[in-house]
Amino acid sequence: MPTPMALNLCTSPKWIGTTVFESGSSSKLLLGSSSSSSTSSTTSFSSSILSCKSVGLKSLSSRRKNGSVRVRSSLDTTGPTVTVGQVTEVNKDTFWPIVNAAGDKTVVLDMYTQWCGPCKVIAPKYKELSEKYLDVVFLKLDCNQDNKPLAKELGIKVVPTFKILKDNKVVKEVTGAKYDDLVAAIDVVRSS
Amino acid sequence: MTSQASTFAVSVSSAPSPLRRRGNFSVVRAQVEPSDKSIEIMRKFSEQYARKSGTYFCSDKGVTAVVIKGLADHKDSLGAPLCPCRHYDDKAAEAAQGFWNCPCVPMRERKECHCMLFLTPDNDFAGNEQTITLDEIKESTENM
Repeated sequence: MPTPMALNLCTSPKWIGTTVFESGSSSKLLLGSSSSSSTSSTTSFSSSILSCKSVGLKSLSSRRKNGSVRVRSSLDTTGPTVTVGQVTEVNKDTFWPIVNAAGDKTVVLDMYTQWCGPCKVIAPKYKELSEKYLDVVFLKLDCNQDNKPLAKELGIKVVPTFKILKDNKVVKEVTGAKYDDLVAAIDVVRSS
Repeated sequence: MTSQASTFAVSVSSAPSPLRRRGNFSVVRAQVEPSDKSIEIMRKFSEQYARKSGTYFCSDKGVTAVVIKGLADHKDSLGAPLCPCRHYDDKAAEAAQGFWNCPCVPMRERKECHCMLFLTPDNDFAGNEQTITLDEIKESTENM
C-alpha cells in the first residue's frame, strides 16, 4: 500500500504533477512534464520545497497497457497551502497560518481597500513581482470590515500599505503605492 | 533504475477541474456598489473641485473612477465622503471630525491627494482633463 505523501508547497502552475502507481511495487511520486511517463527514475526534492503531511489524492486514473496506473493528481491538502509565483488573497483567519507555513521565506502583504485608486494601479505590478520572485510569498488583504481585527493588529493608516514579514513577524513596511520602495524593501529582507 | 537528486520547483495545475470544484467552493464576496445618486454627486464635486484647484484627473481615468466610487460609497454609509485611500479605526468618528473628508486637509492646504484623484499639472500621472462622465465611471469599473 503506497504511503501517502503531501505537498504543502506549490508553485505557480505550468505543468501537471503526476503520480505513478506501478503494480506490484510501492508508488513513486514523479513531478515533471507529463510526457516523461515511462521512465522509472525517482526524483527527490529539496526539503525547502516539500514537507510531508497528510494528503488525499483525488484523481482520475487510467490503466495503462503495461499494468501501471497513471493518475492525474488534484492535490487536496489539509492545512494551509503556501503558494509562490502568484498573489494569494488572505483574510483574518488564513493570514497567520500561511505566514507560519512559509517558514523562513520572506512574505509580502498588500493591504488594500476596494475603492482605492492607487491600489488598482500597483496591483498588476505586484502580480508581476510575485511571478519574478519565486522565493518570496506574495499575499493581499482586503482591509474591509470583516478583516478589521487583522488590519488593526498589523497597523495601517495609508492605503495601500505593504508589510514585509520574515520568521513570523513584520520586519519592514512601505506606505503608499511606491513600487521602487517596495522592490528595494523586498530585496533588503530577502537577502538578510 | 537511476535515482537523481535534484531541486526544482513543484508545479501543480491550477486549472479548475470538476473534482477540484466539488470540495472547494470559491468565496462569493459581496462587492457593494455605491448608489448612482452618490456617484453623480461625487462626480460633479470632483469636476468642480479640479477646476477650482487647478488640478487634473489621472491620465488613467480608471483611477479617477475608482476613487469617485470610493467617495460615493463612504457618502452612502457615513454621510460624508471620507477618503477611500486611508484606513480608519472609527469611520463614523473620522467622518464627524472631518480631517479626511474630501477635499481633505492635505489637499486643501498643499494640493496633496494620495488617492491620485486631483493631480497637479507637474505630476507624472496627471492627464489634461478635468471632466469625467458617468459612462466613463461605469465602463472603467464594471469588472470590479
